Amino acid sequence: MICEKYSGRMADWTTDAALGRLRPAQEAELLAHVGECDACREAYRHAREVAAAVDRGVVALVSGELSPYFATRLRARVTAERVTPRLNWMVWAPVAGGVLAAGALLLIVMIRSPQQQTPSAALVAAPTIPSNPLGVTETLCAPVPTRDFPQGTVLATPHHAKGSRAFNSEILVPPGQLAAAMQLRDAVYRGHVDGEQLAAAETQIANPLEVQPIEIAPLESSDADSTGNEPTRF
Amino acid sequence: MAGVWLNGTEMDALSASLPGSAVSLDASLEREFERRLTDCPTLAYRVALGVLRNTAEAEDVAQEAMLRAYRNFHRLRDRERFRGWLVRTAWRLALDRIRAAGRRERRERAAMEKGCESRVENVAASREFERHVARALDELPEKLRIVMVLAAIEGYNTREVANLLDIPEGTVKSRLFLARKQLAESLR
Repeated sequence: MICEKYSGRMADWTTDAALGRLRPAQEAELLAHVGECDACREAYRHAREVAAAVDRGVVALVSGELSPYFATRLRARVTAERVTPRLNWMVWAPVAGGVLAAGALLLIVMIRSPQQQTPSAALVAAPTIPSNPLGVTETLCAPVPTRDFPQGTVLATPHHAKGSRAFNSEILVPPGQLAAAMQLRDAVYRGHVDGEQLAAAETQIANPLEVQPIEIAPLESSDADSTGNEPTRF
Repeated sequence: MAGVWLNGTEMDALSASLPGSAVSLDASLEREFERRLTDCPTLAYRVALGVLRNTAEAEDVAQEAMLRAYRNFHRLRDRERFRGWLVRTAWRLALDRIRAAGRRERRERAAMEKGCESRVENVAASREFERHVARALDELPEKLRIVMVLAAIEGYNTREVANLLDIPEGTVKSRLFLARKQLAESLR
């Protein structure tokens, strides 16, 4: 049965009344009507049951006790937090910055410093050069004039101390002169020999002195021998 | 709550051994935090349970919330607001976990639940009805939902809920009424 008087607003009123939020005047009117209308009384009863069921349902959703192991697990995790603290960024940030700066500095020094090669390394590296031992190792290297070296010549690779690549050429060191070559290399490395001097020396090697033919005049003897013969011509 | 915690001397020693540690509280803070540990985990657990409806996951969230509370306890200026902070943390963690679980699973579950709707009188005291309530609760706006969950936790009235959420008590009452009304209408 539908109540004609409250059909439009009965749902709202009964719900609000069941939840305890209906205005007192409206609630009094509702209760008076519910006393005489079976349909509205049933709707009101239903609304109260639903409201109570909702409250029970939500309470049931959030009711529950922690497991007995919860405290043990939490204690272990808190203890682990105490024992293995996380580093504060104010502590590790300067350290990390210092390490990075030192690394960058070391990298710069390594790049700008000459590539030193020990004599033994130079000697070991020599046999790996193919049949053209006088070939230039890099395109920027100055070509070394071809000269004849006796067999058994050892290859050495001098490097200039100040990074001049013009001296990064391979030269053949004749046997017995390796020590001298290494002394020259050390002198170049330590800056005792100027690169320009070496370049000039290299140019001099590239343009050797021309051999001028020597004209030998015949020797004449001014003294005639006692026999009266002509002086001897050579 | 069961469990044995470090005493003050042990905590002093630990704190002294960890200078500059971000999680090393001084002894007085440790003791204060320890007092919070006696009852606050249950609150965090029930808040998480109201969102997740799974005891194991709710315990995980409560653990994480308590750990975060421990890490940040020294930063909390107003210690009286610790419970509110913990409630909000547990709530957010639970929601994050729900979202991480994937929407597909929730859609399938909702479709299954919609197919077996029936009148509330027949299923009132059953698990089926709890699922209906849970689904209706999930559909509430977040502001209404957290008020509803907190008010349902045993021992928390509207005044305490207002303190936990740092909002006026009148606002709590209003939101609670709206939440119950929406739930009732969705379960009619």
